[in-house]
Amino acid sequence: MANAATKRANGSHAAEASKDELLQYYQDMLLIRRFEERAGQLYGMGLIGGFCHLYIGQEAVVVGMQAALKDGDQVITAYRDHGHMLAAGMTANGVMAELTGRSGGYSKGKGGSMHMFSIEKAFYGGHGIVGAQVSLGTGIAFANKYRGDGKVCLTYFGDGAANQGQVYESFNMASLWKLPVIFIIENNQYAMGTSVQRSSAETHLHKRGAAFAIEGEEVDGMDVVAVREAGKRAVERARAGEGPYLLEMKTYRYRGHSMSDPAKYRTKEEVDAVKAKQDRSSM
Amino acid sequence: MKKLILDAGHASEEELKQIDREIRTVVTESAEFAQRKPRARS
Repeated sequence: MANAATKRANGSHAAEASKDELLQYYQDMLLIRRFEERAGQLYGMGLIGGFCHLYIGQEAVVVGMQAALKDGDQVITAYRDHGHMLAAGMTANGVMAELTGRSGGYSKGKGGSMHMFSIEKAFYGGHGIVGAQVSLGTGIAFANKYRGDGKVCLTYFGDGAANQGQVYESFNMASLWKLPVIFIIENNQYAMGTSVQRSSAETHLHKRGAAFAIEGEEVDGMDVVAVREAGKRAVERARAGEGPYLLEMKTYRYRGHSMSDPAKYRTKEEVDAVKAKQDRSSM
Repeated sequence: MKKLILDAGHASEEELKQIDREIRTVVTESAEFAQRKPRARS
């Protein structure tokens, strides 16, 4: 449930950020929020076809992590990806045009919500297969190490994908070869409609790297500065050649899994309680 | 976040509203941009 994330939200890290930084994060998070609200409206109007997974509620994760990166560092994620793209600096115009299947989109309107990429912004997608991006992100990190270019790859996946086999094959190789990859589990507590407690024997997902000698920690994913600080530490380690790290972001999505999900597996009270608490650290 | 910024005196309520207005404009423009563009050919 949301308790763990909301409890920690009481101890804010905001004092560690400057006025300009906080205002910038607020803007970046608000852009994602408003963009996703509009995408939801356009979907309702029939202007967006196919899949559409909104990022509303989880904005602090990508904005905080992006603040820990240098230009050229890569990002790869799954299908709930609009927030990652906007945080990486891809344009609202290009993303919205892609969502609506138009020629001005990042994939010329042929990829849709889950399939956008930007070489310029080092954003590697946008992947519809659950967990598939984890092995790809590990491969990107392998290339970084091979080239010796000092880049770090952020590889995002969800609490559902954390139970996929290829994630652990990737963990093993990333740790064995000390690849510069940060594995970020966006634990929004529901894999589609199944709660972490119903699907996972070990619900502390940051411990999932232990068998592969990958250290991890739990982070308040609703606190943008806490995310940034944890991200900086992990990125610094990876860049120094110390290998992968696992960050479990405790977060929460306000909307359903996708547009066709009425989210009847949780109560309105649960969602409202998170929103009320998060107001302090997010919107 | 909003409350935090206000409490710290980093910005006024009006300044934050202005940020929101600017963002809404960017988003509205993106929706208009998208709808002006032709549909992708299959």
